[in-house]
Amino acid sequence: MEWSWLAFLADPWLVSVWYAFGAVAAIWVIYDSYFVNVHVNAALKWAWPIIVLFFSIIGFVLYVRTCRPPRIGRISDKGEQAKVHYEYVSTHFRKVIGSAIHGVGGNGLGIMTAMVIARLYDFAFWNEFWFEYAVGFAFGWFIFQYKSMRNMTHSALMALWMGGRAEFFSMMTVMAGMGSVMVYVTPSVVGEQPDPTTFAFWGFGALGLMLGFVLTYPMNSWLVRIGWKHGMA
Amino acid sequence: MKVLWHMLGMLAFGLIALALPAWLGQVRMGKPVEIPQAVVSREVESTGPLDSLSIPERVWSGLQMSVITAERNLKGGNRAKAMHTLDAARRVAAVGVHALPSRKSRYERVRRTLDQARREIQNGRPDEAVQTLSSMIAGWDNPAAGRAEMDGVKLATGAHYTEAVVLNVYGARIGKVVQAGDQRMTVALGGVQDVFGFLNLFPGTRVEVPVSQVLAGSADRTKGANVLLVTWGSKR
Repeated sequence: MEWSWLAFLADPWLVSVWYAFGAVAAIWVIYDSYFVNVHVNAALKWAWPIIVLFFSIIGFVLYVRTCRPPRIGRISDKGEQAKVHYEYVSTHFRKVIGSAIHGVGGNGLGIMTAMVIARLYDFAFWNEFWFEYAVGFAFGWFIFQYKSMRNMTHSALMALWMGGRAEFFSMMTVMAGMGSVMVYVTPSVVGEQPDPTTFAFWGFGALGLMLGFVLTYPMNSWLVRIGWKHGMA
Repeated sequence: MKVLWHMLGMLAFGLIALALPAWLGQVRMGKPVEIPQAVVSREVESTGPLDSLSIPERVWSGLQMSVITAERNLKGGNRAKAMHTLDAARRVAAVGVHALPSRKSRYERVRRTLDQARREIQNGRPDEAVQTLSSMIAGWDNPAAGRAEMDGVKLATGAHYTEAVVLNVYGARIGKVVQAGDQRMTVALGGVQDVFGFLNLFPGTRVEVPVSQVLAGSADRTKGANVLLVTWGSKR
């Protein structure tokens, strides 16, 4: 399959605009979730800005369409606001989006951090893959999943266990997407393992996370159905 | 019991998903480097029959042919082939820096130029990358410039090269070292190897080669240990 049409992901203008919009939108999401749409759960308040930074316009649209009830800012009564938010995010689709967002948010931050380190130290491909897997898993588990599960139980150990089992299954699919882009798509268009100082690194990094998000959606749907993750609600 | 079935189902789904990068890795990394006949003929014209070349000459010729092929593919808009060959040439240059000390500066220059061309592509400027490669190739007109004797050539001796990736002179990955020794080395060519970086599922064809035919590449496990088998065969 020919992937050269994806060469635009190394274009300085496109990548700059993509991330500039993502950064501005992420700041707006932070403001919105802390001062307007305040019933977003704590883990998602951290995950959404990361997702919006990397997914840019796509992340912004996802936030507005799945996590922010229309006219939520016009409801002054706190109780009514909580009820409206809860009802809005309680459809299976939105729950799963929320579940996948805080999975990919945590994993994504870890994966991209590890990728920068691995490229600076010139890791071989599969060493880099497993390093990113480990760091992404750790970020996802100990920060995002743990924080999310802490709302479900009084025991820190139980939260760690619940977060760990959800993360174990979710991470496999996130890394399947990221790994596929890293091992095949990126080398076909711009060569193997571009440096973090290049536009291709950030363009294809965002693509990898987005494919990870798509592949982890069905896994998160399964996790939500059996009650191991609770998504946006 | 129901929970167990869910766990098994999710595990199966996760493993199937992870098989995707593993399979794509095999497809990508096992791809041969295809050198067009015109490039081979041009090389034969300037150097004479390729099989008669000394080891350093073979490595230099292989590198030249990979770079010329990459430039042609990039010019012709065949991005996937161009990048595959450019990355392969970079691997040969890295082995050259390591294993051919008498020609180290030459290989370092090539590696720097290839890195520059890659960076230009990765910053959305493929036309500049073509120019960078063309300028380097233009400086290669004198075939004698690549000549080198065997003095100081580092061969891949020692057990620490076991499991190293085997490259051919074009830089294609053609197999893995099964057993490394001081005189002979067993390499497995082809097959399904190095899945996820550690699984050798089908070993391929085992071949014993004298170490005198194998140049030492990086021995660093994190950066990826490799050796260069002085062969023209480009099939994995």
